[in-house]
Amino acid sequence: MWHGYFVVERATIGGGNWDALRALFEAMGTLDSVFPADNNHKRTRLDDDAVIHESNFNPGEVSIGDFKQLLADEFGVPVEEIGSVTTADDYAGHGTTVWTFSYNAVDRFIVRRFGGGGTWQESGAECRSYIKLYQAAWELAE
Amino acid sequence: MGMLYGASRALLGGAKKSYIDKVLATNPIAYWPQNEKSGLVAIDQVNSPAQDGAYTGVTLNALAGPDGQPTPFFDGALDFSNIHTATLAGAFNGAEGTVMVWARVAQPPDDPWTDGSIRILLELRADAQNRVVIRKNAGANTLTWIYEANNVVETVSQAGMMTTDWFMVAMAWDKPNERIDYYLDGAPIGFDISLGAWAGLLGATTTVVGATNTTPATPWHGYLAHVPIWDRALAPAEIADLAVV
Repeated sequence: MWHGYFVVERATIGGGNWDALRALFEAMGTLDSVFPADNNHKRTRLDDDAVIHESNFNPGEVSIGDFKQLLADEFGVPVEEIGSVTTADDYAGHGTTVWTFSYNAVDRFIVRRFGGGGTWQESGAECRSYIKLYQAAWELAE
Repeated sequence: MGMLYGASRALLGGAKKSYIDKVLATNPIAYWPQNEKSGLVAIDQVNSPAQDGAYTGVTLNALAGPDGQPTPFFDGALDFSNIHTATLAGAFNGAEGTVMVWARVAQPPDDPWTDGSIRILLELRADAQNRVVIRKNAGANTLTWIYEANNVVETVSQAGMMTTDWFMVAMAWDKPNERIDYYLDGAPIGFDISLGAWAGLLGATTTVVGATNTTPATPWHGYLAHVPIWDRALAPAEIADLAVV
C-alpha cells in the first residue's frame, strides 16, 4: 500500500468527462477503513478544476498506467492512444512526480503525485507546500 | 471526602476523576474530547449520538493529549472534524456562550507558526456576519480570536506564539452583559464590550473543528483535543480551572 496525496488538475477536458473522472478518483484507494486517515478523502480547488486526494492506495493505483487506463475508458478509446509525459516538481524538498495525460495531442489532465511515491510524511509536506504555493486558488483570503 | 483531579485513589480515598469528568461537571451543551483510537465518529460526551461529529482524514491516536488521552493529528491539508448536527445548531447560543480548544502545532521539523497560512482551530459560523472563530494567522506566530454577531466584529490577537507544546484557548461571550472575554492557557488576554446581536443557525458545512469549512479551507496543522461548547459565558475562575489538567 502507498499512503499519500495526489492532485489531479483539469486541462482541456469537457465537463461531463471531468465529472466522470472525478468520480473515478473518489473510488480509488481505501473506502471502508475504521481509520479516517486511510479512507480516500479529498479537497477541491475553489474553481472546481483540481482535486487533491489522500488515501491508503494500492501501489498500482496511483500510477501512470492506471491513470492512462482511466482516461482511455472514459473516452472509450484504446489505452495506446492516451499519451503521457513525465516530469518532476519539488515543493518541499521531497520531489513530486508530474504526469501529463493527453488524447489527440491535447493535454487532458495533470496528476502530481506528491512525494513521488515516498513516505506519507514526505507526501504530506509536498502537498501542503503545493497548496501554499497556489494559495490564491486553494484558500480563502484573510 | 471530595474528589480532586489528578490525585491518586490511595491519597484521597476516592476515585480519580478524569479531565473529561472535570469538563462535564461544568455542564457544556456539547463536548468532543477527540480521544478515539479508531472509528469515523467524534463522540460527543454530552449528547451522543445526536451531537456526534464526523472525522475526515484525521490520524487518530497520534499523540498524547494534555491529559494523556489520545489525540488526533490534523494534516494541514485535507483533515477536519465536522461537528454540525441539527441538535447542536438548535442548542447553540450565539448570544451567550463559551468555546474552548486544546491545541498543539505539528512538531518539528514542521513549523506551522511560521508557515504563512491561516489555520483554523475552531469555526462555528452561521454566515459571514455571525461566527465564532479561533485561528492562527498567516502572519507569523499569531493567534486570533473572533466573535462576530450581526456584522459587529470583536477580536483580539496574541503575538509571540512559538510553543510546540499543548496550549488552551477559550472565548466567552455574554450579550446580555455586553461583554466578551478571551483566554489563553486559562488566563484572560483581553475583552470587548458592546456586542452585536447574533442571528442565524450554525451552518452544516461551517461548524468545524480544524478548518473553516468542510472543503476544508485553512485547515489546522497539528493536534486538537477537548472541544466543549457552553450556552453561558464561563467565569474567569472556571476557565482558569479548566486550564489545569
